[in-house]
Amino acid sequence: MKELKEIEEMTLDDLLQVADDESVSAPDVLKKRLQNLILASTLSKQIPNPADASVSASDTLPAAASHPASKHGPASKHGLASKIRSSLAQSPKSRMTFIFAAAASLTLLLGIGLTRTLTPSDPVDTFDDPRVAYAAVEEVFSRLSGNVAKGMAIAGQANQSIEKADILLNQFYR
Amino acid sequence: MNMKKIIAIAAAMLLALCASAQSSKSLYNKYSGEKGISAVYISPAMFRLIGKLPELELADEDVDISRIIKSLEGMYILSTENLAMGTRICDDVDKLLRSGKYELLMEAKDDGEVMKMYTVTKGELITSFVMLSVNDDEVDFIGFDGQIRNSDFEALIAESQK
Repeated sequence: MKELKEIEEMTLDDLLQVADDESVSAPDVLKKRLQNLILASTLSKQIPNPADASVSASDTLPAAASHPASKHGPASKHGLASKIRSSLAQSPKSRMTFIFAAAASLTLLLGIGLTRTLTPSDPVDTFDDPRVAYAAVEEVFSRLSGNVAKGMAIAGQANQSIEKADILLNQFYR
Repeated sequence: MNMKKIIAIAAAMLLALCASAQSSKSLYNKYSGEKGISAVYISPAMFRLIGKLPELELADEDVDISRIIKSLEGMYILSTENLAMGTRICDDVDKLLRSGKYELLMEAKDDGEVMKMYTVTKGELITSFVMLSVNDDEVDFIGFDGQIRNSDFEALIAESQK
């Protein structure tokens, strides 16, 4: 067993030689601790700064750290839920983009639904015989013309009053 | 930011859609089945059939009634002597008129009877017409849609006075 001083004086090549020597095996506890340290070091280097949205954590995580359910196979059952969760777990900008995209889709669906609901359906013809229908149309138009004539008669009466007032004013200004 | 604009535009379009839902047809659909209201509807297809009637084509040489009738796309008539129903119809007609498309053509008040006529015009064409007549005994709503020339409409009204 080497002493600590001897290990500290070893060069990089010596260390690599010792590492490559498979006859010497490290204890399991040490192996696990080393693996955790390597993983933590990798994660701390590769998880992006929230301000930098161009790098996505899921793109760069090593295979050992990535969730197996996000790949194929049994993921199909939880695909949508995990997709939503992963979208919401991303940076605030991509989260907002996802929320707006969902809101836009919902608005579009609502619009289509409302268009179909609010467009009035065609009512059923009251008459089967065009001659009877025409009689009804004639009655409507004669009623309309009667109302127009009534309105014009009222306007005509007002016109008489205006003419009288006009005559009086002309007499006043002469 | 682009997504926010898309959402805002989509919301505005939805609002516009809701606002444009009122029409003579929707009014007719709402009240035609109600008790105490007599309703008449003439469809575009029926108008085309009316336009083909031989007696219509020979009716008058001054006014081509057949062509005018064929240009109508629907006529809606609602009439009621029920005061409560009449008030509801008046309120809904007010909502329809407040949509901004309609222009007042004529209003006449005489002996307790109020008569209003409104039109929607597109250039030289009348595309929609609404008349509301209210007196002590009854409320009448007449609406029709089509592509009628102003001059034809005036001629038709004048012809009906004979």
